[in-house]
Amino acid sequence: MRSDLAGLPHLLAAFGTAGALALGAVGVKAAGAPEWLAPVADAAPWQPGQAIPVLRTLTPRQGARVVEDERTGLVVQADPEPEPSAPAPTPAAAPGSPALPGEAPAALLEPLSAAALRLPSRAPAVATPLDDPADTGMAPFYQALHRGTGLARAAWWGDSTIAADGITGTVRARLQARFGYGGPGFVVAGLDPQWSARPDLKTTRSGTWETKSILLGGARGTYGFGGVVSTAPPEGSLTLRAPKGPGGSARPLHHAELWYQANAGSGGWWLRAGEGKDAAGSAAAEGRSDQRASLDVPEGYDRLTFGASGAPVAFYGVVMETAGPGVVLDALGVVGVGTRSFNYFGENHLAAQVAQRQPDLVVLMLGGNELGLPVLQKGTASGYDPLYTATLRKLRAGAPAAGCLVVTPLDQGTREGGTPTTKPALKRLVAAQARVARAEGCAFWSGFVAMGGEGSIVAWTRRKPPLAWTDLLHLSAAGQDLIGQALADAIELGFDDWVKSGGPARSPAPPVAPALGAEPGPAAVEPGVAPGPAAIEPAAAPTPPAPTEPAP
Amino acid sequence: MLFSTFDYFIFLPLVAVGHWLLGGKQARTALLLVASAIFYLAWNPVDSFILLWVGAVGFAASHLLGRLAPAAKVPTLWGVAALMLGPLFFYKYAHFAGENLAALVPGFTPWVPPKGHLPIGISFYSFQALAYVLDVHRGQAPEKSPVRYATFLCFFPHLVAGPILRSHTLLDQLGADRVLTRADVGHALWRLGVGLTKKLLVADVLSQGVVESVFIDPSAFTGLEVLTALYAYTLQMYADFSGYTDFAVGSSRLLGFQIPENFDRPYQATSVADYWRRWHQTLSNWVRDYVYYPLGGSRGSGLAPYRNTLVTLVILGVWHGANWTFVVYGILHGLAVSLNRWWKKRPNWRAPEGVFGIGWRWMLTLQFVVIARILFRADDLDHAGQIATALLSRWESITLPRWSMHAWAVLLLGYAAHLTPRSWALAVRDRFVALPAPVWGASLAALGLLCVRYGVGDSLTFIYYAF
Repeated sequence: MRSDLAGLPHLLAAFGTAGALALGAVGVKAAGAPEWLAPVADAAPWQPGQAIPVLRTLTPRQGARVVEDERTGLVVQADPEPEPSAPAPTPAAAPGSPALPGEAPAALLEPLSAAALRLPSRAPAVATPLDDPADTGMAPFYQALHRGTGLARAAWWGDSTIAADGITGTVRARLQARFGYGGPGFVVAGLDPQWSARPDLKTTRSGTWETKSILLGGARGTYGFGGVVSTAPPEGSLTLRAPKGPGGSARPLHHAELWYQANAGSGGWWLRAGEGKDAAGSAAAEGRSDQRASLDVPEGYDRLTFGASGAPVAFYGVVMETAGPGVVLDALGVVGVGTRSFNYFGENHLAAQVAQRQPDLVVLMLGGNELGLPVLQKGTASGYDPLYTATLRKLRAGAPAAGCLVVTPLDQGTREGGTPTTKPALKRLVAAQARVARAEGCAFWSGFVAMGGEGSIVAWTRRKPPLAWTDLLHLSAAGQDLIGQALADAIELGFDDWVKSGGPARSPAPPVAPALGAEPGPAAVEPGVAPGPAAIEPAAAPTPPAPTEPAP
Repeated sequence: MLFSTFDYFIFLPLVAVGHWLLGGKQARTALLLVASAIFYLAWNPVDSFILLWVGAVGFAASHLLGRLAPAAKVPTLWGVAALMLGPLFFYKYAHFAGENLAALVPGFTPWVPPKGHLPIGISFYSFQALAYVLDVHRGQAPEKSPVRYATFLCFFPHLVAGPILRSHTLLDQLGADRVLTRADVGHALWRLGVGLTKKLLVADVLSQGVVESVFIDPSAFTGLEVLTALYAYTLQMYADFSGYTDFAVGSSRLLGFQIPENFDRPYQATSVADYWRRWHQTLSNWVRDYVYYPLGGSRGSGLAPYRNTLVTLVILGVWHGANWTFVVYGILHGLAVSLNRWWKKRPNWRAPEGVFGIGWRWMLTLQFVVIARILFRADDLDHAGQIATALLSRWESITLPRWSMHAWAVLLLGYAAHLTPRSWALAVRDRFVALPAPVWGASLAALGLLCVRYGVGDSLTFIYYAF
């Protein structure tokens, strides 16, 4: 070997070794790796059938572009880069396809149906109608909307997908624009970007509050209507100001409620909607009980302040409403929760809280933190059905006459194995929730389908501006708005169809929700439905949920 | 073709082995030119015409200058500069200039080219070709061989994102006899491995796990989360760009070339001026030699040195892109360097000593660099305002930012590694170089496996490709 090439054998040996190992990985992958060799097979840099390395970089490429179906907004071809197993969703079967045993109705897993053609195009979101074949899921809510007096209330529980009030905020704004402004609704006292947020409200907090939620428990079964209980220190207070109306005009409230917990050692509570402390009382009691104080808001005021005095008081939240007619949508998202987080609620506590709130519609959007559950990893995931059913029934127990809507998680991706793809368990989870919705007489709306199905989260991260975060789990504010608009489209279309088909005559009109409260005076305190400590403190400690996939 | 891809790790050894097996210098140079053309054509063949234009004008001008009368040289030089920088201005700055002109002059609506595609590497090769012409103007002999000149300009390890070479650095080596020793191979593979680690296991992970989500939606995060995201972005920037440089230096070494370094642990800087001596050194040197010194440098009285500093730093900022954010970024850094200069000029100033004296200067410098990154990352000044607002918001309840353990580990280990003494890294490198060649190869393969397991999938484009 010439002296100027002394390094060449070493170069050949090094790259030869690396190349041999890489080829070995390719061989293992091609031959079907045993489980213990899976990491090696996953690291194979190339597979038979793929374009030839190096040469593939010289083949002509399309420019970066997004091709969408004009009618449906469906992303047909999103990107010139390799799009991992993201086939364009195929046209769906006719709506109302019969459910097969152990499987979801085909129409619920795919984006198109006859009704979808009548929804506006919001590319890259896919027009997705509500599925409510028995006409039982949405009817009570539609009836309340159609009534024209009082408030139509929807209560929406969920995880981080709605904890920032993005999707729910858009749906609320859309429905209030059409049916009337009903106010911000129920707002948890423990508002915090780490748990749940309401960016439409201006908040000012004093003192250090201690918050517990159904994510980690620790409040002995009592978490209130929103799953978050927050204890104010002595002299701690929280001010909430309702959002302005169109053109910056103030939108006064008419009715306020303070939901709190009476207990031994608690201090006094106060609630102010006007200039002074309009209502006040003591939260001290021998046993634990849920309480509610209500107040007529003085004319023209759009803010509430409440707090503790003398000693700490545990607050669940406040209600901020108008006299109607209008719509209220309570956003009750808690970051990180799953179906089993609802096991933290003590027996009867949640039902009693829901009964007090009297929603016309119960909405549940969970599952995004549960994709690691073993029952979702294979087969039809039928083991998930009882979990979801139990949570749904727990919520509906307090409002059996209310409507019910199941909204599935959005598309979620993973980077395991190299290329970003949709989490394998997601489609099984969506199918399971579709089955439960049918079985429980709930309406169903697939957020997964509305995003465009498999691989859509990856495409959404690449949009300008980005519609999803690069954690492949969450949507950006623009993405949340898009999904909220798509769902509002579906609800409004469902309402219009229900009216046209004679729905108001079919369904009995529900009683008007007590927008101004049933209380006689300007301020009244009434005990919760569950009067005694036994109903509040469960005999046994609530079953803690099994570890779920960590949510950011 | 991205450095941090499987394709490049096939392309590079093929080119290297072919290069060394060829006998003569001319044949080797020709092979490098062909390989560089393939490397660049893989991006976008149409853009190659711009590279061809800039190169051709530079080559012709370097030979023309020697034949001109002295009085004609400077005007000619300006004309040549306009021709060479014209494409750069058109693609990078014309939209920005047109928009602002229209906003400034009521009723004036100039034609504004669409904002969009920026030919990859245009800022780097335009500056490099212009520097060559300026060097010839200052007395360097023009390169006679068009093949050697073209290879200097297109040399694939540094073509799209530097380091920006002084022309004689590469031209001299192209004309000289080169050797490949065992140590060369070991050093080259070490740098390639380091580059792969920085890019795929640090920069891309921080980008996808922390940074991008926050800058898409800053209002959705707490002030502490935005602050940690800024730290993450600062580390990502370093890992991304210095990772590219590692690839460039390692690839060059495998072909027998030594090219200059671009970074010297910049976040160990104890002043903003020190930071610019450690960050993107070849660009800083370029601007120093061709802008700062011609303006007068640190000579002159009164405010002249401060003016020169400010102008130089603004040009450095605007080099990164046509956006007011980069203008403000340059001004901010210019003011910081000027302030530092003024402070040190005080009659009784003495350099701080000891751990505390150096420590607080380091801390202050790092905070400045991190916070100024808001302007570097923001899409526009409004976006910068949103990020700054989010940074100052939601501090009332401090809780741990919601990043994965993986992202946290990368962030903390990345800073820890960056802050170690340089000698530690050199010691580890020397141990690696002493290993047998098959162990080098096995190490690279193992690193590839780690990248698949703990990376984010498809490698993301290098940040500086956008400049």
